[in-house]
Amino acid sequence: MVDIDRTIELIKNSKHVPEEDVKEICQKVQEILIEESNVQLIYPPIVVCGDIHGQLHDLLILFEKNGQVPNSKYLFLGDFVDRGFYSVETFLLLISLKLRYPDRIYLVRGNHESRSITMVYGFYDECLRKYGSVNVWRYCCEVFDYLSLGALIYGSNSSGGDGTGNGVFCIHGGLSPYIEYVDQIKHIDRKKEVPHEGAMCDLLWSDPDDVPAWAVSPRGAGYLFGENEVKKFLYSNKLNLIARAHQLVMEGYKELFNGGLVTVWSAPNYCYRCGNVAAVLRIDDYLNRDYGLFDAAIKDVDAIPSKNPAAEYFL
Amino acid sequence: MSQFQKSIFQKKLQKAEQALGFDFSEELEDQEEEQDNSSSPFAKDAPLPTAKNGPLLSQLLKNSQQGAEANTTGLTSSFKYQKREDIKPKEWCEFFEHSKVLEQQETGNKFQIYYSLPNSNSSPIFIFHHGAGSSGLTFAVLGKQIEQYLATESPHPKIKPGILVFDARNHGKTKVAENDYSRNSFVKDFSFILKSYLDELDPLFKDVISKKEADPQLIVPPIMLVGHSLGGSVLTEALHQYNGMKDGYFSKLVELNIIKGLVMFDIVEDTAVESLAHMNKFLNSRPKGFRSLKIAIDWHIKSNFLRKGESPLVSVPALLMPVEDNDPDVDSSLFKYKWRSDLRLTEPFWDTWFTGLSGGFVNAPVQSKLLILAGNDNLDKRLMIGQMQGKFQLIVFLESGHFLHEDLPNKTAISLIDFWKRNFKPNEKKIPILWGHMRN
Repeated sequence: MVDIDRTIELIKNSKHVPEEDVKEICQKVQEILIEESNVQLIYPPIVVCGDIHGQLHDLLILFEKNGQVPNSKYLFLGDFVDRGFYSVETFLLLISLKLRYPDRIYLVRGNHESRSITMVYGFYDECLRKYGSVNVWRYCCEVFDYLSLGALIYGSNSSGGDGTGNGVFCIHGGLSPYIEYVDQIKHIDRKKEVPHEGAMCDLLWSDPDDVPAWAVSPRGAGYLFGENEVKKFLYSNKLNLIARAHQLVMEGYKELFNGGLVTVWSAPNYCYRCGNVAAVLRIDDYLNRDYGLFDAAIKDVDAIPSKNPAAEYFL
Repeated sequence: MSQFQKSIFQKKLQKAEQALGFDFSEELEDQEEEQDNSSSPFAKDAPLPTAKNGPLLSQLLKNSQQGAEANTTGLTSSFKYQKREDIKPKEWCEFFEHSKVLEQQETGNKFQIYYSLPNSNSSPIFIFHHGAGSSGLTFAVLGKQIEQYLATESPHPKIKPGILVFDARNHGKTKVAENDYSRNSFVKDFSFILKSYLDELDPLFKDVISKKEADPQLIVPPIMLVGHSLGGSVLTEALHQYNGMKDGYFSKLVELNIIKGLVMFDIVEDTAVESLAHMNKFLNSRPKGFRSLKIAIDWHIKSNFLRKGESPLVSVPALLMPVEDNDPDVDSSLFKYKWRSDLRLTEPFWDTWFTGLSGGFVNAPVQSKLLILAGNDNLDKRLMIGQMQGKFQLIVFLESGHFLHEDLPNKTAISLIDFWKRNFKPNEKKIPILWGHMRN
């Protein structure tokens, strides 16, 4: 039986976690995640966080600044892995905390929590490099399939932001032309690899943009949606905010459409080169918003090894 | 997005195979020992390769194909050299309908182009620009693949794409008097070639500017510019230089949204600039000539430039020319063929080749952009920010070399066709908006 508190300490100190322990943690956390709904209902106060992408040291700063679990309650909006060099530790820390404090930390799935994506963007290679086999990658991918797709944060009835609604819909990507009501998400069979199209894909891939109606996304998956869609969705579902991640925001967060939607990005100096700050969204009992900004832990970019040597020739 | 590539390709390859009775699988040289594992690549017990350098994706692809009982009747695209005798050079005419030399009146420059014409206004138009030291025929097999896929997918009515490739200045058979290899010169050449093709050679584009200006609703085949390596940089620069200019054919094409897409193959500004430092080492290390075309093709494969397949049979001969008896540079008793392009002459211009490329690509004034990289996702800062803000589509071919359209012509063709369908194909896929139709 793995000592979860000890494992959490190991990870925080960047120490190696044995493969056997990883296996056990992954299996155990699945038992918790399987009980969770596709859209989890959560009560504030809570700290909502965007993409982390394997930047373990920045995640530790995030916890330091906003309170350790279980003192503070957290919702992470996916994209825990890939691109950063500590994806294994980042994901392990998050699921270990989930295992230890299941009602103090919530995890929803991002488009990078996927087998095909992690094979291209680093997590697969990192598992192979650190464990000598892809077993750890495989255990983690199984956990991905159990992650819920979104969350609803409900406020107390007395006050609700602009007064029209009383809740925050939280998702990694955005809206889907298939999903008009939050309840419809409950019908999705989520325990699978992220599909290439359809509602589940859109929720993890779509982006808000200045468009008059639904439009094709330049990303090649999901859609673009505009102010009209956001207004309708908020109204139909009696909400006052959509909180999502998925897009790099140089200033850490960005509110759009008269404050009806916010993008939160929690990976400072993304991939050790983008020069952005990071943010979390703190939501209080009355659904008031407050943003906490933070900077990268690792300042010396040259200390980060280049992932790939330069090409030998270029023609 | 790109990242879905693997499973999408698995499905599409299988579908195409079933429809055609062909085997479209692309084999790796070092992968010829058969895998006897036919289980799904993600099944719990499927053994996965344990080395990074292993041809993982192809292995997975292959596994799943075996699972689907893919046959191996063999066709151009499942090309495998059985014996050395199979290394037979191929001609342009197996891949394109037309070959033509465009002469620029004011300069006397002569540009070799190869092209196939589209058959209707619903056809996509792909205009290719090769990289330094290459030639238009580097895209020969890819062009043919695009044509074959479209013919299979839409037999009634048949959609035949427009494909244009050309030899850039002093590459292949194109002759230009001056030794100016600045990016601006390539941009000017491209603008001339594109105008000549659309104005004079493709009837669907006859007087397209005036027609489109008169009727903005007029359906014109969507043009996608596709550049490999330096070619990608030239096309990106062309879009910016001509964008917003008051007159000029090219700027009208951009302004009227006739040029709709920009695609780059394996080019990232920072990586390209770094690798220029290695160019001289590379140029010193390659042979001055070859005794035969077969040996030349073999050399390209053995030195890992190109993957064994059909493409080198047509692309490599295009890089070479016969050695004359009294050639000053190459000993004709040693070599029968030498390089057509003298890349050393381009060195003074290298610093112009990639400047501002990544930012230019992210902000290019076209509707949709696609970047396909080979080997890894080593984006530089500007591309990384652009990608994570959802500004363009990124596809990574893990198992490919730099000439990804030659190594994996099938996957490249599928990617380009998907890009066209998703973004520009008329009436392809209406967005399925269910809002207002379903109530709980």
